[in-house]
Parts: sequence; C-alpha cells; structure tokens
Amino acid sequence: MDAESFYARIASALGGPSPALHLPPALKVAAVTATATERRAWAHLASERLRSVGGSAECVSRSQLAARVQELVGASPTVRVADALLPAEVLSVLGQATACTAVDAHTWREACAAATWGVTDADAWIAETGSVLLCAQRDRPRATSLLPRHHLVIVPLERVIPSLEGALNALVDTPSQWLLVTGPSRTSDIENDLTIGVHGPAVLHVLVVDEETA
Amino acid sequence: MSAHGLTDDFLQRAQHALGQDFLRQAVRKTTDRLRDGRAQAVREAGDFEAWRDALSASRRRAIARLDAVLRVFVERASAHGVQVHFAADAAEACAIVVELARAKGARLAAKGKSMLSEEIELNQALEAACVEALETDLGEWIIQLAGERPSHIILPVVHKPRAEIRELFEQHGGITLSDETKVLAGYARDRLRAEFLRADLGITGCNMAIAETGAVALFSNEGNGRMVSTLPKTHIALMGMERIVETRADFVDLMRLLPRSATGQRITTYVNVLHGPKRTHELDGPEELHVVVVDAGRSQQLADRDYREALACIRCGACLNACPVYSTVGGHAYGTVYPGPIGAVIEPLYARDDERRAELANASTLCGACHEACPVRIPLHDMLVSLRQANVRQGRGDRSELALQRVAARAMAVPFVYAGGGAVARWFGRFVAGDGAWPRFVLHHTPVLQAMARQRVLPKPPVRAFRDQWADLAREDMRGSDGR
Ligand code: SF4
Repeated sequence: MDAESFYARIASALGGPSPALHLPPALKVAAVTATATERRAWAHLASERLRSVGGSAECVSRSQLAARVQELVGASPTVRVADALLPAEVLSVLGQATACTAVDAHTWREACAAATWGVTDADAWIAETGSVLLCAQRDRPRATSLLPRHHLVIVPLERVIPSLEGALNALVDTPSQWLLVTGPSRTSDIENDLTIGVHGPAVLHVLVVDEETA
Repeated sequence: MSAHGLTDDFLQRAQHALGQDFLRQAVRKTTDRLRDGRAQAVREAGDFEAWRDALSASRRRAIARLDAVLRVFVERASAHGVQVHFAADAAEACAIVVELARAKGARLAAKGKSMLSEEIELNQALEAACVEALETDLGEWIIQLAGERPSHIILPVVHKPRAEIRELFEQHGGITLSDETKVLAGYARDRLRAEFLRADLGITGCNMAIAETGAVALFSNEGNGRMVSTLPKTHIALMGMERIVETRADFVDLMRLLPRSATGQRITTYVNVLHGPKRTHELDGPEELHVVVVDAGRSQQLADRDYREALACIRCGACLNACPVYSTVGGHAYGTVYPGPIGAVIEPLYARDDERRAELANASTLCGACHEACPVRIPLHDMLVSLRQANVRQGRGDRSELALQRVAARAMAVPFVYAGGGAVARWFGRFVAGDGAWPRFVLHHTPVLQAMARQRVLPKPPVRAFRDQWADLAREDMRGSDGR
C-alpha cells in the first residue's frame, strides 16, 4: 500500500485528517555542568547500579590506567576503537590490539569474532541506570562492543552524567546507532533462571578515569 | 458457548494446562517473579506515577493524531536512508518481506523477537519462499525447535521444563548436554553465533519509533537483537503502526517504564535506537534498513472509540502477570498470539467475526488488576465488559442463559416477585448442591445449570436470604439502642 493511502485509512479511522504536526527539528539542550565532586558521586552511583545487574566498574587515575588495562586485557586477542578516542597511554599497552582504523570491513569482522576483549570509550556513563552510551561512528564500529566476550569501557570522569535525559543530546545527531549498554547480556528464558552472557558480551567492565585520583 | 461464555475449545485448553503440574507451577512462578520485580521497581522509583501519567498522555496524544505523527517519522527516517513500506494487512506485510528477501537473494533470515512477526505468521511465509527463518532469541528459538507458540509475550517459553529444552538441543545438535542453564544457554550461543555471521537478512520488531528523530528502537537483554540489526547486510524492522512516540522526552518515559513494568529491571541490557543503515565510512552495520509499518486490524480498532485507547499498549506484559486467569492457565489456553487481558481485548478487534477470539472476553474475573498494573493505564477491564456486552448483543452466548437473564431482569424489577423467586431459587439451589443421585441427576439435566456446574463447584445457598438476615439484625440493633 502506498503511503498516502495508508495515511488516509488512519485519517478516516480518526474521523478526518489531523492537522500537520510541526515538530521542530530536534535541538540540543545545554549539557549539565558539574564539579568533579558531583561527577564522582554520580560515578559512584553508576557503578553501584551497574554492579547490581552483573557489570563492574572502578575508578582509576591517569597514571594507573595503562597498568590496569594491561592487567585486564593482557595478551588476549583484542579489538579496539580508533586512537583518537582512547587516552594515549592505553594505546601503548594495547599494541597487539586490532584498531578499527587499520583494517577493512571484512578483516574487522573476523577480528571482532575472534577477539576476547573489545575496548571502547563511551559518549556517556549514566548514574541513573549505570548505562554506557555508545553512538556508532567511523572510529567506533558497532561490533567492538558486540562480538568479543569481554567489553572494556574507558571513560573520562567528565562524561559521567546523572540521568537518561543527558543521553538525549546524542540522539540529535541521529547516529546510525545510539546504544545504551547496561551490564552483560542476560536471559531468564530457561525456567526463570538468570544466566549472564548469552549472545552479547558476558563481561562489561568500566574504567572511569579520574585525573585527580592519587 | 456454555453458561460462562467459554467454548469447549477454550475449556479443553485450560483443562489441559491445569493438568500439567510443571506448567501450572512455572506460569505461577514466572508471573509472581515478574510481578514482584515490578512492585520492587515501583517502590524504588519515586516518580513512577508521574512517569505513568506522562507516558499515558504521550501515547494517547500520538495515537490521536497518528497520521500526522507517522508523516513526520517517515519524512525524517527517510532523510537518513531508512526505506519505509506500508502494509494494510498481514498478507501484504509478509509479501513485502518476502519480496525484499527475494531481491537480496537471501537464504537465511536471522530474527529478533517480534510479536508482530508471530501475528502475521511471517516465518511460514518465508519458508514458503524458501528462505530459512531462524529465531535467535533463546526462548523463541526453543519454541521454534519445538514447533510451538510463545506462551508469554516477554518470556515465550515459561511453560517448558529444562529437561525438555535439553532434549530439544540434544536432538538438534546430536550431542549430550547437561540440564544446567549455563550449559543450555552456552549451546544456543555457540550454535547461533555462526548463524548470525552467515545470515543475509536480519528481521526484528520495533518496540517504539521516535518521530522527532526518525528512529526505531529495540529493547533487549540477550543481545541477539543487536546481532541481527548489525551483522546481516539488510535489516528489516516490523512496526505496528501505533508503536510511535513523538519526542525524545516521551521516549525517556518509555525507557523508564517498559523494562520496569515488564521484568522490574531499571532498564533492559540494551536499548538500541537506529537511525538508518550504516553511514558510508562506518565499518559495520547493515547496508539497508527497511521499516515495514503494519496496520492489520489496527485502523479498525482506531476507529472504535471504545477500544482506541488499547493502541497505547507498550506490550510490557504486566497485565498478564497481574491476571489471576493468566497466572492459572498460562498463555496457550487462550489459543491466540497475544494472551492475557491485552490479548482478550485486541485479538477480537483484529478479527471481528472470529467466535473463538470473541469468547476471550469471558476469560477474566473483571478484578481490574490488569488496569492497575498497566503502565499506560489502559482500562482493560472496562473494555472486557463492553466486549461481553457486544457479544450478548450479537447473540453470542448460551440461549438458555440469555433467557434466564431476561427473566431475572424482569423479576428483579418487582420486589415481591424477587423475594418469592429468591425463596424458590434458594430451595432449588440447596437441593442440587446436596449429595445423592437425584440432585446430581437434576443438576446435569437442567440447561444453564449443567454448563455452570461443569467447571465449577456450586455453592450451597443459605436457608435464609441476606435481606431477611439483615432485617433481623436491624431489628436487634434497634432494640439494643432502645434499651440503653
Ligand atoms: S495493556 Fe498495559 S500492561 Fe498490558 S501489555 Fe499493554 S501496556 Fe503492558
């Protein structure tokens, strides 16, 4: 059925066509400004909430970061987002990882399917739910956080936000995918028994980088 | 139809369900768990009622000007490369998908969970066109392997014990597995992983579209929805035409209410909002995103003021979990795609002269628990009453019962007839509720009564009517206050 006939059916069910809806194009609102102390409190809440659904999170200083990533990822097969999205010191310990910018689509997919870890940044980390916001872009392909069994997120403290509303600005840019990830994949389909790690990653670990943490 | 308005078909299915201990306990356990989860989420969230008000209003607003809202959605979604199709009915929806599959030369369609796909029977249509349709939601996959139908809109496989699931998997893989959930889920993961990578077509539902940004949103926990909307070259999302909100702000209310109402989660593991296919420079994501907007009876429902509000439904399943009938007999007894209170309301509206769907309005106690649980406050119990009224007007129902009701209506209008008739009815009621061969014979040979008694234990009426007892009490009370 063509669009106009379809609308006409609806209009006749409603008793006449509705006046055109003038929905202004989506606009961004001013981002939340907050002190480091406030953001730390949100990060605390976010990690609590993330933990309650089987994820994990920790706060690290810039100087500890590389060592911590090294500890977690080790020499496992790893895929990662572009250089520009990660702190420089991480790149040195992720030397063996496949960067999305270095390969073609086919190789990328194979690498993701074979990887144990996927390392990404995030557009935001949300206290209300513990969710990580990931918008797809050239430098951050979708499969990085989908195919590997473990997903490591490295996010600076400045991107910790209090509530879901704060994630809406990113919708204005209409990324091909706007994705909230809250914990490892799960199912209760078998006799109501909760299992972690079905199709998506079984581990979600967030490292929030706090410059001032000693 | 018998005196409680349910056909033998329904009763047989219900009886069958009640005879299965596992099923009965499992359905009860599941609905209890989901209900508790929801209750806890409500307690934790201070603003729950405010969110409900907001979402109830925004859903109704979008429905009330659905044509205009869809226009905005289509215009903006097309602007970022979404190809939108419109289907008047199930057959057309299937034809569109089949045609797309054919054009792509698709051999395997990997599917995310979609009730709409069940509704239009898409799998059958695809198979007929030699395209393998593979369910990838764990529950739906189990259902598919077993050749069954989902029994709950959120947890499709609540009715199946793990031993049966293990057997299905063992047959499927030709291997031996244990009963452990981890092992079973692991098997599904390994098997389906290869299929995700092989599939040419990904098919999902659409939990909600957002007109403002031209997006379709998918909520899921397992991650299969992400797989099928990322890995295959073509992604098709099936969207019921009413599943749309106007703005991002409305969508936030949905993000807060849908998971909480469904399972008690603060949010589902994944909330996946899609604005078109992958951009030119992106490494992954589908090359094409098609949205099929489906009517299939919805515009009829929209035209009917009495039931229009039910289009605000967000398919959370809370009304199923709250329903005493659903929690007792489970989803299969309904014999329809959508079970429970929402199913009893929308199923007959989708197919107006289907007797079997019409009777579902009677599979309810009218307690109103569904309305209380509904995040968008759909007055399901009122709708069930008016569906029952419509059934009677259309002459559906047991003839002798209708006759009895007409007589009763006359009698109740005249006090002395009512009192006299009551005395006779009480005497007769005490007689047939008694033991012995005669009462049983009478019970089973009186129209109306025989049908009523078949599924119920008839109560024994008291010797004296309530109004007589009440009069006595009133007299005593009077004497008491006189003496003081
Ligand atoms: S009718 Fe209400 S409670 Fe039932 S599924 Fe729809 S939104 Fe949920």
